[in-house]
Amino acid sequence: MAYNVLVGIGGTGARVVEAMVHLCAAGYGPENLSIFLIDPDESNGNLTRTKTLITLYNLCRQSFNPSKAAEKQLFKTNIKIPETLVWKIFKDKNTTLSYYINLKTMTKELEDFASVLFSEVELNTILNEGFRGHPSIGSVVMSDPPQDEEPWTVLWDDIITQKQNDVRVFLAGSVFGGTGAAGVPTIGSQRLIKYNDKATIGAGKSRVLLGGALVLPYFSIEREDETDEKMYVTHYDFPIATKAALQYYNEKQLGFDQLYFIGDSLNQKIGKFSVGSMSQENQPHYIELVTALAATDFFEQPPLEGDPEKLYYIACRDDDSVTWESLPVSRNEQEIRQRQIDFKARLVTMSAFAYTFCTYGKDTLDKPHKDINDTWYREHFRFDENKEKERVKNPRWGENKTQLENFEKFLKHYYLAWLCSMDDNSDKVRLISKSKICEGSIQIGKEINLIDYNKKKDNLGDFLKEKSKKEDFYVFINRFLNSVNITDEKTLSAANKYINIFYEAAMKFCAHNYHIQ
Amino acid sequence: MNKSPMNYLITFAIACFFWVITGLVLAGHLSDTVSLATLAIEDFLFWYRIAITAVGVISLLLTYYWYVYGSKDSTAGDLEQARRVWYQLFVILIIVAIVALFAKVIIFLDEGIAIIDYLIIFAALSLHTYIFYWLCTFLMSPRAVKYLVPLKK
Repeated sequence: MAYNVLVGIGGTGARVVEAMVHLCAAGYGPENLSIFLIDPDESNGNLTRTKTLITLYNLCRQSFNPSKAAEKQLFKTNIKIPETLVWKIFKDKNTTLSYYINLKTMTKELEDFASVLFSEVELNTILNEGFRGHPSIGSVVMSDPPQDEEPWTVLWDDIITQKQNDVRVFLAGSVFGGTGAAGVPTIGSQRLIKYNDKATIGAGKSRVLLGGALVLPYFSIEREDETDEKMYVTHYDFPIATKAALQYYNEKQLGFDQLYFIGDSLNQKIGKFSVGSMSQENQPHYIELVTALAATDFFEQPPLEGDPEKLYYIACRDDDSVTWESLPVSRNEQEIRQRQIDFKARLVTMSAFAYTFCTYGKDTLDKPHKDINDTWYREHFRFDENKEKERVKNPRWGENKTQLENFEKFLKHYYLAWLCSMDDNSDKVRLISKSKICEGSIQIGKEINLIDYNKKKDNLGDFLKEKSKKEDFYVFINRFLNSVNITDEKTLSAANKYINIFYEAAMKFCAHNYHIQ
Repeated sequence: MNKSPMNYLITFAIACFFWVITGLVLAGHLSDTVSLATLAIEDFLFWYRIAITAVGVISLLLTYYWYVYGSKDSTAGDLEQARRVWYQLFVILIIVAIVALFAKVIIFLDEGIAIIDYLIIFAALSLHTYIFYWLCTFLMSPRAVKYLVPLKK
């Protein structure tokens, strides 16, 4: 089995990893995936969000035991992360480029040479918050990573047992910012990963199949005030940076076997301007989802024999709207339609599951056991609350409670928040209708207000921006939730039973209501 | 058993079975035990059978209403309301049984029928009304509302 590694470089890379984790939760990821991130700005909001998300994903997955229907779907991917998830590049805080290259101890000639390559501001700006759109700094400091230290060891730990092309490494980052623009070509160079001593098997052969997504400018940032910072990047700099980057990729012989070029013309706003740190927490964007789809396509390709040929992928849509049918899901033309259906089914099912679980499911759990007369509940949860021996059958008790709380947190504060954030109300991104799922502002990882299913019961069958049967929440309960039967699954804990009931019901409801099989 | 049309057909069969028990077997017993001042026993049995048939039809219709109501998707979303509806129907049928008994008492006021015979008549009326309703809904309520019926575990 191929060994898959996803490396998120910079803010965009972290958000691509975030999208990938959500795909894995929905069952659209590969069987196994190792992840690590590269960013000097460890307190960057995007990075913090992704780190918490992966931790929560693993907590949910470790405790989750799927029923037959949910097998190979919900939380399918085994995500492995190193103890040190982020390579933050600098060991010391408040590092500047001049400190990093030991400018003070250089000979006069070398010092002069450095001052020709870098401006004074570039040499003396503290890099805690990233390279601020100056990839020339990043490429210097990222050119020699400590490959025998975490998180780099993720790449090499079991590599000796792998055959040619069996270790699939995918680098994701933007080409127009700072860290991504510096990191993707630097780490994608031939010597660093592709033809690293540990990866090479004889001349010109490598165990690593190297893929990458070059994310071209796809967003704009609101900028309200002038900043005191001397070195930063705004979206006005993106086109020039991109042109330079693409020229570089064209001229250099990098180690990539397969490259995906991903961009967008909608130019959506994804947040306020920030040079970095906690305040750099941007809204998710559908392009990050598309990049995660590219990574999935890369990881799911059939085994490659012999030397891989260089492949470049680019896809475009018919008009300026983004629909389920316009998402690029496969390199293979014959598979596109089926994979689009599969992808849509997984994401829509996950969304219906998340919404119903976090609203009606939560409300049911908040009621006392003896007061619940819902058929699906009574048939799956038979126990006497007063008998200590039967407490494990109570989904509100002990480990069951913790597991359900973790799921709720993941589904509500992360998955639904992420999904809804992609809808910018412009009607261009025609995937999910945010207003049908939640109300008010969304901040990923924070409390969000889900729509009251009693007041807006039609929303469950109408949250896609396309035609559906518009079945309501009561149909979901009566025809789907009440017909789930997993009483035979004796091995499932009460919490797992609870989760599986909602997932199976959501799966059948979506197949019926949204015409997806 | 709780799927349409099986529940409707079995409910009808139970109603017919109860009628056979009360309208034929119990009526035969009453014809031997009841002593009437003026009325012929055939006339007494005629009015008795009219009464149990009437309450039987009312019970059957109300039970069918519960099946229709319990099958609606909206009912599954508001089980508290459904529980209230079940109890309302149950109470209506108790009232129907009592009203039918009083009607009989008034009709046969001058006949000097013994209390024990009225109790047997009330038992027959009860069997056709709230007992029939409870039994049928206990056994054959639509899935969404089956656990609302008292004593259902």
